[in-house]
Amino acid sequence: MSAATPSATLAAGPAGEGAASGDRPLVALVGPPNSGKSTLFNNLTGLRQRVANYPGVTVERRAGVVRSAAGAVELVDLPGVHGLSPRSLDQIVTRNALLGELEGDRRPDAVVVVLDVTRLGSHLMVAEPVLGLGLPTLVVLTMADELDRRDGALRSTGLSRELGVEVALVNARDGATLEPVRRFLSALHTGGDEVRACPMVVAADHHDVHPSGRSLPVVDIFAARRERARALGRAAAFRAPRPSRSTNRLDALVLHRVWGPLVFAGVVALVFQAIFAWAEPLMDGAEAAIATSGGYLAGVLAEGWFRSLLIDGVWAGVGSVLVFLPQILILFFFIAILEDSGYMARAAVIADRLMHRVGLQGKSFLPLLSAYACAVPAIMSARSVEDERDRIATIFIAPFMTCSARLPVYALLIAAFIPAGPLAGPLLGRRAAVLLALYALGLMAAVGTAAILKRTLLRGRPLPFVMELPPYRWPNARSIAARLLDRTKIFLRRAGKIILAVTVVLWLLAQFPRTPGGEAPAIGDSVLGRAGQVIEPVIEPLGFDWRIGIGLVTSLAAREVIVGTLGTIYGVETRDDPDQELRAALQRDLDFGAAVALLIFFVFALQCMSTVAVMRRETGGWRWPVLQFAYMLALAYAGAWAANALL
Amino acid sequence: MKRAHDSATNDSDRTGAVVPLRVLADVPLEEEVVLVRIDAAGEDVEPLLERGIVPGCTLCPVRHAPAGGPTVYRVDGSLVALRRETASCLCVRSALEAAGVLDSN
Repeated sequence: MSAATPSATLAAGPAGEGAASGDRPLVALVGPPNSGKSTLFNNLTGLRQRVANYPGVTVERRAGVVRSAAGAVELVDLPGVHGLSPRSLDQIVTRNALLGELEGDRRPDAVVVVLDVTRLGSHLMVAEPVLGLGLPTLVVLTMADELDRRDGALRSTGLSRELGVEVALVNARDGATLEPVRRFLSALHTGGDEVRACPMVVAADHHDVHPSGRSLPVVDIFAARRERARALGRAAAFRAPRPSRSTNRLDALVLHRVWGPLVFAGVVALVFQAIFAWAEPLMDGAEAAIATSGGYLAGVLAEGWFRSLLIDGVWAGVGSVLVFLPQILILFFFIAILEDSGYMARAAVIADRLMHRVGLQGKSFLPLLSAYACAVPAIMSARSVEDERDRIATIFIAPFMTCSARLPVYALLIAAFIPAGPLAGPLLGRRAAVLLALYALGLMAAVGTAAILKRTLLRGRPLPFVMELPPYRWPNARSIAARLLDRTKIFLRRAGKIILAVTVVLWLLAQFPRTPGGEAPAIGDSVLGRAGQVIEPVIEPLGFDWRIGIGLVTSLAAREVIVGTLGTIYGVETRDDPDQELRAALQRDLDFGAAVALLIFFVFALQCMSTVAVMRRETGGWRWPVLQFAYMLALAYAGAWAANALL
Repeated sequence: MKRAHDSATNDSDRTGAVVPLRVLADVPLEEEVVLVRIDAAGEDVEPLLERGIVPGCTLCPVRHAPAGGPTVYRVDGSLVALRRETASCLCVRSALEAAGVLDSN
């Protein structure tokens, strides 16, 4: 049973801060998605959690410490899984974590299996392979309140007797009901008799642990498992709860053939409104705070290369990430509410029809919506797409969605080249129409690319679309706070590192070669400026000169960086109205065709190293990010060339 | 999809059913049925099995999503949405009839 399977063994890598610490007993939380596992975890550990990646893979390892009089216990929240077969990354990680086969992690000393008691039948089937591992186990049945409310019943002592391990019936949100869980955890120190392994020998069931068992008809394995689960239910006098009336009523509205799509459109509009309109004052605030603090620092430090590196390199780099933080927090907040309430699964059902037409599926909807704020969290959230081909396709097209880093560039060019004024009535102005057209162009490229990918590189029989619709629940403030916190940490770590590195490198390139007097060179004489001149022949057919070339090179750090770069190149100093000055400079330097070409270039090109980096992690190699970068660059070049030639 | 229909009607001796099997996609709303067989290739069925859609389970269509989207089914206490093409691979028989077969055994 403990034999490692090469295919499922994870790549070795340096153990991060996630490595098991000290001599505390290590306890793993395992359970299906939507079983209340994370709520239980948050309730036991509070917000003192550590989030890291498992070495070599992007699956998160969430760990926290639970203290009791008897001693502390290290609790790890494993990814929510429906089984232990090596079908998805989450399942491989969970399985290997339980077997102690992950680099830098030891085998857990005990397991807490978290199941939703209202869905006892199918959830016990998930529990079986975990119980078969022979680790000391506590089975936690959550949603006890829900079972009560809907006239279900269960004698947990009966189930405990049958399984041979402790069973606790709890309400994961109510700390008072978690006493048996805490007792189990402290018994790991005191050696109480709560700590028992399941004596059940799960025969003929090595399918989940041993891929060699795959030759067994998988249906039979599950049918047998289902029978055993039913027998367990009978022994525990389980009476299934009746269907939830409130869920039924809400679904009648949310999946209604008229109201359903309207509610869906309303939710999408609300999220958009929030991440653009409501985030704006916060983003302006963040920008001002960064500028002010940078200015303060600049005043304190002596002039020289160090000040320049700190202010123009590091501060500007960190700032360009932090500016997006309010918006991304708002996005994460909405996603957390939509997911925890149960609506997100319904949205995926509504969107499925539309997404299916372009070769994707309902679960791709959330990542693609997120991509309108930023492709980095979008690509991370694509993990919820189970079908690997659909997941890759979703990741691949996410950067075509108009992320907010493109907005400053669009705003600058539109203001400089598109005269204000109405286009069609007072509602749609000319500038707004151009902005909308740019959004539409990105969306069309995404749809077309998805369709091409699914017919070529990602062709194949799709997995069946199975979407679980969890019962509606009120979102819980604590678990939302916990999720916001760890999403944010991950975003900052991923995006922050790479942008920082790229901005520092670009700063260095702009600093050398030094002038005879030891000063920083004029930007046109620097390595960066020469790079712009070297690529000038390449971008000349697009109507761009070397100045725009430098802007394009620097915008690799993050798209909006080009605005600052152009400001520097054109020698715009912070005088009365720097924006006005920059617009005037651009109008002198670019004709209308070239301006449109530049806009189109930004619609298509993957000018974002954070996205490339995240993509490499999420797809497990350079193949997809390199292909994507080249593909998007080719599209951008062709589109810009056509625009410049035609206009 | 064709394969599913053919085998659904010609496999009565293996399942012991007298009345021809139907596919889940053809079951009207609110009718309870029992899953008899899944007509799909090996690994593809795993996402279904892991969510409790296993031969012997009770399924009940409760709602169609708008515009020909997936249908929501009740499966042993959970709600699961399936596309029509997936529901067409699931061979079922009515729950009442399934109970009758059990009684006569």
